[in-house]
Amino acid sequence: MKSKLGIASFVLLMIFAPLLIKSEYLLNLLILICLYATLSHSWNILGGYCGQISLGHATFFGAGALTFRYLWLGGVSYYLALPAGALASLILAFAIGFPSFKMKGHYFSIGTLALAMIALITVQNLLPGVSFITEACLKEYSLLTIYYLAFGVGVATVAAVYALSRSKLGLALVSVREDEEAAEAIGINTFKYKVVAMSISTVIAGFAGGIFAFYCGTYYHYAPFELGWSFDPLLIAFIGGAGTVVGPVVGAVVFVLLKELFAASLGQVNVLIFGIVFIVTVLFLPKGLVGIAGIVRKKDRSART
Amino acid sequence: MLEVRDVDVTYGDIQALWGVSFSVRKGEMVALVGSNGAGKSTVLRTLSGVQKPRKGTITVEGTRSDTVDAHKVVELGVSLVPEGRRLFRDMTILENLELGGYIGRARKVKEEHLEWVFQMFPVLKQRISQLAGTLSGGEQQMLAIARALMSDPKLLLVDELSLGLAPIIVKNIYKTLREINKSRNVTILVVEQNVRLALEVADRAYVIENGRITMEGAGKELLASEAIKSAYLAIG
Repeated sequence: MKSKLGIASFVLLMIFAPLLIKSEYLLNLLILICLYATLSHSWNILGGYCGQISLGHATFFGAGALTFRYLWLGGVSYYLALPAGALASLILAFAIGFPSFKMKGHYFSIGTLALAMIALITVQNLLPGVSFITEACLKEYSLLTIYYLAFGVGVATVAAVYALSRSKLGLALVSVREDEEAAEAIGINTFKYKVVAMSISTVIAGFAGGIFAFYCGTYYHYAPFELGWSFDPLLIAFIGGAGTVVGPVVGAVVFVLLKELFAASLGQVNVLIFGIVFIVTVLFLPKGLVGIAGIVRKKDRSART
Repeated sequence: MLEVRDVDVTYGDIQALWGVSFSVRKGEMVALVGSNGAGKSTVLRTLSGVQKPRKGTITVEGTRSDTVDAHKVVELGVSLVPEGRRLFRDMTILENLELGGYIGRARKVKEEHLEWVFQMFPVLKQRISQLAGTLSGGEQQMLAIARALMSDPKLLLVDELSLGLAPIIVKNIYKTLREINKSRNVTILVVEQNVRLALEVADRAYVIENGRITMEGAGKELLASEAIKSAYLAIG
């Protein structure tokens, strides 16, 4: 009950945050945190819960962004373009994502990485230019709208993952992660559940991509396909705690703040910082930052049993 | 109930089973015994559908099971207690059991089955929200059996249950298996390295050597045979 109250007041605070903080800079940071938390949770459903370590989420993020951008610039309003982007991402997953489940373990990771590189190179060659925002769209562009959209999608995503983590479906996903062969041997249709995880995951990645395309005024078409969009969500999930509800959110806050801190002062070297942070987390905090608290899983359990 | 005909299994270039044929009748408890590397576990892996045979057929109550996915074999009523138990270690006992009863048919009788397996293994009920990885070896084996029973199987396959357990615990678990076999009419096929124990408890047994079935007979008969005595029991 206490935690419910806490969550409710946090959500309320975030809703009124733009009224309290007048700084556009801070609003930008909040948007980025929501965006990264959403994308990281998208990865978390497939990688953290179902144990399928994807290195190709940029493909689905990019597909969402590309679709959103084309529709939005073409005159479709953003609230229609956003789900359309998610749908495009899902379709792409059906077309090229699911065959990658023929590969297991590390091969799946390498396969999805190859997929992301193919997507990046394809977009780089087909759409080499910059995507400019049109004048008509500029009228619709408002940081406040984007913030509420990013926050709404973020909250919906976290709520979905929370529901998933307590459901029978979530249990089946985790069984695939824990021991795929044992799961299969007790009657779990592991392929089906991997497909389900991939579907939910790519839909969310598509939403995140759409928000990116809404948020960034002018960018190269291939920008959302860059490999960072595959590695960052993984990094964030591991820093915060993969396979948990809170982890990717905590990870996103830490990630965005650290990036702000180091990107300005160190330039490209900031990538190195995240490499070090990642290694340190994996070595000393295998359960991520939320593992320090150590209460997350336990709480989950006592509630279910 | 179970008919295995002329099954060959290969791992790459290596052939593990050569023309294996045997059958298990409804309500029986049958043992498959043999030494290390004879192919016992391969037989069970093939029966549970995790491994596909290169040649031959397997039928469960008249339905071919060798051509379907492993999770479908469970729906046909065959459940495996895997070698080394293969529990979901970071999940609780209850979660492990829930996953065992995940298939559609089993969900309807889940509550009744839970009650039944807790009655068979009361220690599991006491530790219902404990993580499976923290249980002792014997308790883990009980949980593995209970998890397999949750899918409401007609045929239970048990792989090497004595592995790493104290003899007294093994004996007790076998007693419980026999009870499950008798009282609930669950047909059981056990694979066992401990030949004497398996032959004592089973109705019938097959001996497997180098991937081939070499002997069959009633448990007590085989126990008395000279060949078994000298090869496996180190007497005579």
